[in-house]
Amino acid sequence: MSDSFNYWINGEIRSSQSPLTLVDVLVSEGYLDENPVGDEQAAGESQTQATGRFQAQATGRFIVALNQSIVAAADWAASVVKPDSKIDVVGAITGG
Amino acid sequence: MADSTAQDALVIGGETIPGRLWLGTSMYPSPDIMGQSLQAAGPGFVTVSVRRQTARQVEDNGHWQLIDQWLKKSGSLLLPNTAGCHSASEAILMANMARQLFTTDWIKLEVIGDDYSLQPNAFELLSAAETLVQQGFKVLPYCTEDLVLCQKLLDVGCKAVMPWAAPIGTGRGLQNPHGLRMLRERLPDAVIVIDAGIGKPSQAMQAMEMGFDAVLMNTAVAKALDPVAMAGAFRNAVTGGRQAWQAGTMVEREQASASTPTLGMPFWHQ
Repeated sequence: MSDSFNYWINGEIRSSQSPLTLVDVLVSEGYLDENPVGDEQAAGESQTQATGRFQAQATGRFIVALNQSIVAAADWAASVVKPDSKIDVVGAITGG
Repeated sequence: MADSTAQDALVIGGETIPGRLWLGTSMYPSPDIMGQSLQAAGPGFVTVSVRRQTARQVEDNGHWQLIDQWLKKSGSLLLPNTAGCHSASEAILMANMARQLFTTDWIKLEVIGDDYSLQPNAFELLSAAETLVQQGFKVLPYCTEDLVLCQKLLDVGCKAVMPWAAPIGTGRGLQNPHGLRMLRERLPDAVIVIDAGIGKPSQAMQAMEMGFDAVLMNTAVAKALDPVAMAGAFRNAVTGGRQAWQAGTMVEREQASASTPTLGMPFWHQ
């Protein structure tokens, strides 16, 4: 029996066989660079440093909602994506 | 950005708005033409929105990057909208997304009630406005010219109201000038901005001549054959209309009245 589960990002279905956090999803979808500073430095990076780095990558560019609740960048790493979770990543567009 | 002089500053919620023409950023032929149009219009507010985006779209967001640069150098203010929302809960969530993304408390509140006319849903609009004001937003609701609705929106703390001239994107101009004139007369101290349905500079000027505080538009500029020139034309119209309002227009008459004196006219009653 498989442990895989489905979740949604911007209306598109995804499947995973392992537990995920929002950081995992945002990295896999390309919104966040998992390791922009190089392997050696990343290996020694603290959770706080990683959060700050992700926050810097997102600020002014996109925000994230999980099941229609906005999730601050500081909470992405602790936000578990459960089965049938709906994730929205929104950015700026032109408007009238 | 010299259309809102110190003597005639437009102040909303304690903040001076640097222009009485407000401009949307959609539907321009290119980011470059949008940027030139912003330059020509000198808008007090520039409207934007939020939508789902892929990582690639976030990365290659040329329009937004240009708008962001324009805002930093011009002094124009950013006005995110909740376009596309059909309920108070949707609009509240989108407003909060916009506040976090754009770091501004200003919000153009749109809650659509009819997809054909894009007429606002007055009930959901009022509910959303009340909540957003409580959350610290400076709410500018897109509404109809309904006097009672506008009064209620102001009562719950909206900083201004923005009745339509005509349905969004139609360019039909002021469809109910009597109702708008009455709204202006009954709410003399409120900031009232005409939003949507303006198609020509003459219509923007008409709104300003009636004493409205500003005009917000998008399609009429973006869809002009020459958007940059049209942006300048609207800027002039809004400035001229405001000056006319301040100068006080003459009272209309039913009968002709000669402007050249008859006194001293040769052969008169000879």
